[in-house]
Amino acid sequence: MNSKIVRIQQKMAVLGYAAHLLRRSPLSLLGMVIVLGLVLIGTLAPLIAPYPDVPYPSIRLNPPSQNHIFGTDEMGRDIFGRIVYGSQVSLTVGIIVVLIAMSVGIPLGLTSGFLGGKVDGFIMRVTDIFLSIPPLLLAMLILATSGPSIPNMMAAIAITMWPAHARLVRGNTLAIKEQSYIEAARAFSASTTRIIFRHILPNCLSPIIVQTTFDVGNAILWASALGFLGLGARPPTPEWGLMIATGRIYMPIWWWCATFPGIAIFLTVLGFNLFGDGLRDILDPRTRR
Amino acid sequence: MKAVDGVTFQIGKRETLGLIGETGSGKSVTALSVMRLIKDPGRIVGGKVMFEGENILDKDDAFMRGIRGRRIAMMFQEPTTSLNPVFTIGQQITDITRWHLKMTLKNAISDAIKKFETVGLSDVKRRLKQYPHELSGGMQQRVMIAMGISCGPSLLIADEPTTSLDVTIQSQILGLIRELRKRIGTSILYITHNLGVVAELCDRVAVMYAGKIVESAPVMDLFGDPRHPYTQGLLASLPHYSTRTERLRTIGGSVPDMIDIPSGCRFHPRCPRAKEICIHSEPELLQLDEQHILACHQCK
Repeated sequence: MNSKIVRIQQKMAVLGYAAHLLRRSPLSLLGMVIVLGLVLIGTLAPLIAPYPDVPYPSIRLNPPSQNHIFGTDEMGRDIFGRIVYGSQVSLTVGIIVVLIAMSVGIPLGLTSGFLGGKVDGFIMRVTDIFLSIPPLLLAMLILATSGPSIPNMMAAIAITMWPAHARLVRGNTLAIKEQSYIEAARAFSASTTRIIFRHILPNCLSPIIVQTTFDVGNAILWASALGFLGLGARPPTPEWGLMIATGRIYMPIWWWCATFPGIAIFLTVLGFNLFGDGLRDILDPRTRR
Repeated sequence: MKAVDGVTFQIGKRETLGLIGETGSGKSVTALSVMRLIKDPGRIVGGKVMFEGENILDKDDAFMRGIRGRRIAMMFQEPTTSLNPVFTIGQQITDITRWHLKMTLKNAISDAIKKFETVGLSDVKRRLKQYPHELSGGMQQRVMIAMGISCGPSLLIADEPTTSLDVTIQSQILGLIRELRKRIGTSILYITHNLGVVAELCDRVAVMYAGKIVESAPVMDLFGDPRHPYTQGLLASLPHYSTRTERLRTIGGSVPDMIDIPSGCRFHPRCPRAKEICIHSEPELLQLDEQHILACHQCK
């Protein structure tokens, strides 16, 4: 019983320390608030959006007012509601893309770094190929051949992101595999697979977590860019980039159609970047007690 | 470049063999070779490693994985860096027992508690959930010992386990090893450069120089009647109560770089008894009497 209390105290101490670090950096706190807010909005979207995402031709292009705080778009849909539903799209895309990139990039990076030699050389050349093509171009090529849709877009963005994960993990692996505890693990007969996934991977987690956070923000940005170009979400999906594309022609008079989605994208990516910065500081071993 | 070139020794059941040598003499490489843990580009080029009647150099990886940690266990010099920093010590020892002995988690945990108590850790249940950096050096080394004996190995290889600890802790750890040895009956290959530890702990001693064994004898015989000039030099350099006012004795020169070994007897540049023959031909390891082996031209 005593040990349970001690454990809880230990965990609270860690959280308290993290909170202390966040307090020192109000920007990362802001980032965290934004990210959490976004997740909250996305989860509770149907409860928050005041009107369903349906055209009301009689109230097209109404400016922001009490009834419609962000105004209505060219089809008479409430923009605030569309942004709220759009957060679901963006978050889903961001998270799934990063999950795919991680599940491809991390094992490849670990294997490459640990085994070295020809395997390493081969995998690195493959990542070189992907990294040498501008990501937007690569995504456009993929979507041009496979056809624009949200799932295809997610695959395309993930393909542009996995090499960075692989390289990151490979670098960490190279450093960690020289450590004594890896040799000790071998002396206790851990197999190669076991060493890679149970000993090396947990020691690389910090940079992976930081990179992942930045990547979610980036993925959302890319999704918006591709949506803007018409290569991602198709109408009438309430995707922010798509909203900017359709609202663009109504600038500058009916400015609310394109501006609010733009602000949403901006705040979201900013939030993830600030949060990532904060995480990096917390996880940096040099700032540890 | 051969880090080890001509090493022969035996360890009997329940016997403790000390392997002494200076840094660079090839002691650690010898130990790693026994467990076939030499990393690329290093290789074992020849010879045999007979373990319980079988030459394990011929065996495949799967066989070695069954041996390492289970029938031959190794303890490393720096316990701090030999423990994975992101797992609790409870997790690390149960990893081993669950893998080798196929214990269930529950059994592994209660076994871990027993093992940690055996090695003298206090407040064991709480310690299971602690991370290596929360423990002192002495405690970490005890954890390593517990991990080493967890599967009941026939041979324990201890690579300078007390070198990084202070003297009082060192004495505790040695006491622990003695006690465990009695209880478990494991053979020990104890590698060190500390002659005092060897005298306290070992049954027999082998002295290594520049990759070769130059003398080997039961501990009393070696300390009482050292024959090889190198061994004699080592023993003479130990500070003694009666020589408090004299300068400490040393062996002139320094250990050769293994890339550029001296011809003939490797010790000849530093040997006070070196003669013509020592420069040209390497002395063989000869049986001096029943237990005493020696490689020197000048000592017959």
